[in-house]
Amino acid sequence: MVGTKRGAHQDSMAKLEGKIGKRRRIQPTVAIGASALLLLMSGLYWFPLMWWLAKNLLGDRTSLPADLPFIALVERTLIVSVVGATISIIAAYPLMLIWRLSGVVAKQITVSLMVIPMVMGLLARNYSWLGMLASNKPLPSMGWSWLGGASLMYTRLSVYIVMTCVFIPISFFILIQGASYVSQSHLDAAKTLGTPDWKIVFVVVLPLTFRAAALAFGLTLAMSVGFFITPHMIGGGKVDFISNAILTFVNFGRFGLASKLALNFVAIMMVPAAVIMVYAFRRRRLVSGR
Amino acid sequence: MSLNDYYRISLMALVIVMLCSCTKSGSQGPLTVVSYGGGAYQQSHKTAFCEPFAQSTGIQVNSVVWNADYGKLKAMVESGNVSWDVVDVTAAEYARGRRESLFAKLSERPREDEFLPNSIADDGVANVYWGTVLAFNRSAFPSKQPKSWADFWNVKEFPGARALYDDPRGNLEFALLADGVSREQLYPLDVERAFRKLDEVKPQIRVWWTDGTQPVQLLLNNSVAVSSAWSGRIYASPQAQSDISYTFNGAGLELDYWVIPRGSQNVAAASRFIAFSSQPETMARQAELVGYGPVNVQALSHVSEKAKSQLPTFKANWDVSFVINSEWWALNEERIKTRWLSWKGK
Repeated sequence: MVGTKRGAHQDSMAKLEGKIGKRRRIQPTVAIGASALLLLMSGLYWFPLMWWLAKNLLGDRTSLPADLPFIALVERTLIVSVVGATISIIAAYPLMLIWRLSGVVAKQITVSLMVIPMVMGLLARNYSWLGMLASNKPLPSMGWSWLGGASLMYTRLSVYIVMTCVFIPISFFILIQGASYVSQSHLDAAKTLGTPDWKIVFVVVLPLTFRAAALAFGLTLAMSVGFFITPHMIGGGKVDFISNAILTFVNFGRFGLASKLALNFVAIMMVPAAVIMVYAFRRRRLVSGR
Repeated sequence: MSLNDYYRISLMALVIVMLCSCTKSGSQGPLTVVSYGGGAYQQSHKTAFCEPFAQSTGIQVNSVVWNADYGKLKAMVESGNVSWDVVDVTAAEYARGRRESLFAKLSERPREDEFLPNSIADDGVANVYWGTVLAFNRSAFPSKQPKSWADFWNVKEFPGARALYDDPRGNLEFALLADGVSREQLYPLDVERAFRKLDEVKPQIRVWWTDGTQPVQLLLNNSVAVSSAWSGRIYASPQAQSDISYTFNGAGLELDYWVIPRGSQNVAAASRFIAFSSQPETMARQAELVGYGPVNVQALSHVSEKAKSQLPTFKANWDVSFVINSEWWALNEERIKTRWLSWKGK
C-alpha cells in the first residue's frame, strides 16, 4: 500500500519534472533573439556607460576649474529637486484619492486632466507659464495678482511652482498604481469600526500607498536633477542647475570638462542612491517586486 | 504567427537596422544652411538667401537653426558625420574654429574689392555686422531716457528691473564703458574691474536672457525697464519699433561669418551659396529685413534710407559703437565663461 502510494508519488513527481524540464528548454531562435537584444542593450547602453566611467576615472586627467561653483550648483540642484518632487507627491495625493473614491466619469476626467499636460511637452508647459505669469494682458494680471503676478516670474519660487506642476502628473500615475493596494474591504472595515474619513486616509490609505509615493519621489527626483531648460527659462538664468553648467561646457566644445563635471555629480548622487538601494534590497522589495 | 516566426522577424529587423545605422550617409542631398537663433534673423536668411538661391540654381536648401553652440559643430566635424554645409558663426567662433581646423576651404570666393577689409579668407566670408544695443521701454522713461551704459548702471535716476545677455562677451565691455573706460582703450579687458562693476548692477538684473526674442518680450510686457538687446530683433518687430527705443551709443558690434564645416559633402554648392549670399543685392535684401549691416559695401546703395539709419554700419552708429575683439575673446573665453558661471551663482 505504502509502496503503491510512493510509486504514484514518484510518477507524479517525474511527470512534473518532465513538464518543468520541457518548459525550461529554450528554443534556439528565442536564444538568438534574446542574445541579440542583450548585445544591443550592451552596445547601446552598458558599454558606452562603462567606457565613459573608465575613461574619466582612469584616463582623463582633466580637473575642474578652481573657480567653478560646483558645490553651490549641486546644492541648488538637489534642494530645488527635492522640494519639487516632495510637493508634487503631496499635491498628487488628493487627486489620487479623488480617482480612487470616485465614479467612472470622475475618474476619466481626472485622468484626462493629468494626461493633457503630459502630452503638451515640457517646453510648451514652460512657455504657458511664462505667458501666464509674465504677460501684461489684463486677464493674467488679474488672475495671478494673488500669487504675486509678474513679480513671481524669474524667481526660485517660480521654478519650484513650475517644476512641481511638471511632476504632478507623473506622481499621480505612480500613486494610482499604489492605490490598487487599497481594497474596498479595508475601507469598509475601517468605516464599520467607526473611523472618521480623514483618519481612514491616514491609517489605511497612506500606509498602503507609501511604497508608490516613495517610488514617485525617487523617479521625479532622478528626472529633476537632470533638468536644465525649466530652471534657466523660468528662473531667468539665476536658478541654474548643475546641468546648465555641463551644457555650457558642452556648447563650448570642452567635452572632457563637461564629462568630468557630470561624473562628479553622478558620484555625489550615488551616495543617496546606494542608501536607498541597500534599504530596498534588505527589505527584498527590489527582489520580490512586492 | 508563431513565437518562432516572431523572433525570426525581429532578428531580421534588428540586423537590417544595425546595417543601416552602420552605413555612412555620404550621398549628396540638399544644401543645409544653418543660421543663428531662429526668429527674425533666420527668417531673413531664408527670404534673402535660401529661397532666391534655390530658385536661381535649382539646388534645394534646408534652412535650419543653431544656437551658436560651438561644441555641436566641433563634435560634428570631429566625428566625421557632417550634416551641415554652410554655417553662420560669430567672429569669436570663427577665430577658434580656424585654430582647430574645423572649416573647409571655399572653392569659390566673392569679389574681394567690394568688401570691407579682411572680410574674406580661404575658409570663411564675413556676412554682417550685428549689434548689441542698450534698449528700453519708452513708457518706463517718459521724460528722461537712458542714453549710455552709465545710465544702465544708474538705478537711481533710471529705476526699474534690468536684463542682460547671459554671456560675459559684451557685458564686460559694457561694464567697463559704464565705469568710464573709453571705447579705444577697452582691450585687453580689465576683467577684475569689469566684474567689480557688474557686482553693482547684479541685484537689479531680473533676467539673464539667452535668446534674441527674449529681451524684446521682456521690454514689451514690462518685465524689465532696460535691457541689452540685439538691434535687429527690435528692428524686425513692428510692435517693438513702436514701444521700444534703443541707442547705438556704446553698442558692441560683432561680425558673423559664413563657413563650411570640414567634411561637408557639398563644398562646391556651399561655396556657391556663400558667393550668392555675398552679392550686394542679396545682402541689401537681408539688411532691409533684419537691420544688420552688410559687409559688402556696395550693398548699402541698395538699402532704403529709412533702413540704412538703423544699420550698425551706418556712419553715425558706427562712430559711437565698438567692435568686440574676437581674437581676444577666442583666447580668453573659456576662462572667463567659467568665472561668469561662478560669479552668477554667488
